[in-house]
Amino acid sequence: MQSEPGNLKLRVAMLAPDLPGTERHVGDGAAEADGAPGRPTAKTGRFRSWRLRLIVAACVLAAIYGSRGLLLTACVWPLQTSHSEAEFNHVVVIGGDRCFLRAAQMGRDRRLRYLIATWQPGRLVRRGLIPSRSDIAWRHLIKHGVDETDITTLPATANSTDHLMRILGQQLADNRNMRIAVLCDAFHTRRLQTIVDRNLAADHANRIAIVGLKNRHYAPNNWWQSKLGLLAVFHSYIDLYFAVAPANNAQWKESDPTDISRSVVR
Amino acid sequence: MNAVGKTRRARWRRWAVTSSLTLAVCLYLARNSLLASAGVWLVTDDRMTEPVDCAIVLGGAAETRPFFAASLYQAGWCHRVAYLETVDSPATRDGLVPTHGTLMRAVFADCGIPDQSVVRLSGVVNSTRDEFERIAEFVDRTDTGICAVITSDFHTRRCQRVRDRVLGQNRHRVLILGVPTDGFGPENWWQFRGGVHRYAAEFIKLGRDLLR
Repeated sequence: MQSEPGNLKLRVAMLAPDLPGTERHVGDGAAEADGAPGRPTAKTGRFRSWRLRLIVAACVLAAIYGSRGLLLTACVWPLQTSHSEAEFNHVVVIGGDRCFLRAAQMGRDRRLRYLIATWQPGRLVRRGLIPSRSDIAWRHLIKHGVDETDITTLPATANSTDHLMRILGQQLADNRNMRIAVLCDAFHTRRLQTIVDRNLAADHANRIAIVGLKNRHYAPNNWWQSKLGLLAVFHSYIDLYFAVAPANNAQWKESDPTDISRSVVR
Repeated sequence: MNAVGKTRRARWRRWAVTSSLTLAVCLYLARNSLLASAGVWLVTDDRMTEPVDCAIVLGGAAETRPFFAASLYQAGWCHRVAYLETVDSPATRDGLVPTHGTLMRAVFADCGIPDQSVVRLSGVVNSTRDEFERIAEFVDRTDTGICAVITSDFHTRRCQRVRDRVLGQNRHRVLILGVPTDGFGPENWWQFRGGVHRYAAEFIKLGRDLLR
């Protein structure tokens, strides 16, 4: 039951909302019953706080949308290290867009030696159905004008990038003047730097320069605009995770593709 | 806000934080079984009960898929083997590695399959959907009986969805057979870099396919 003064104030507020002391608030039932319609109540306060939160959220979303380019560019910073300007006299190509062409171009104004890694062969290479990765690298370099005498195949067969870095470490230990540039995709530079630091002593690691190659299809400031760029970032993060994550003991073993027993019911 | 409201809100927050933490810990502890279950869920291949007319090898994974098809042929479970030509890679365009079709023929020849038993399906494909469109044409146009599509095991669920959509009523004429990948399987894929690359990409593609 409302008291008389409360009722009176409510009627005044309806007729003349601008009069002082007669402001109405949403959900003022309790306040009206108390005869104090001007005082903020629990419901009013909650409404105001939610309105404030919505405004703040809208502002944050607008800010994120406005600076999305900067934020997305920042997303790939962890994948990259700064380009090393160290002098080098040997080049190892790991990957990257037109990597062999660029490796060959590096040697046009100075004499460089090219080290080719040999990798454990897969089934198709073992059967002689496709050329090995080292063969392909060799052919690419020759095709781009590198002199055959400047190409050397590394003596050991690598079974992982970690293993390859240890092989390079051995080469650095044997040759005091050797300085190596490792060419890879720009989004793989952090991963390779991590692997180099993990596998080589500091004096050897300092003689390896990781050179990130830009891709002609995407760049750090527009990678999200193309499918290739999205895939590159996605896969580069997986690679980086496996480079920094502690090694697991899972054993990689070749399957037997000639085993059809699972697919047929005899 | 009154004291009762504050207490209720604090209690709710405490409950939300505790349950989120409990859930996170449970997920972490059960991660191996959850990831294995997710991997096993992707593998949903068919079984052959009688020999099929043709084993069609999908593009990619040339280290395993054509060898499996060749084994089916040699064991008498298929009368012909077929392949699809895929879009050339840069290395192929440079002439440094053979095209997919050339490689398939080389593998089949290496496994002792006579040339007249090898069929090349028409067109050049760039996606799973492309491949099944070519297979649908092949099944429609020729008087081929039952065919078996050979693909990697983690790719079978998506292949079945695409097959059902593209082939419609003819879907029963095409079986999907999964081949194990080198190095990892559905039970341990997350422990290998290659496994995470392939399975994660497959989950994304399957999610996109489910939303279509």
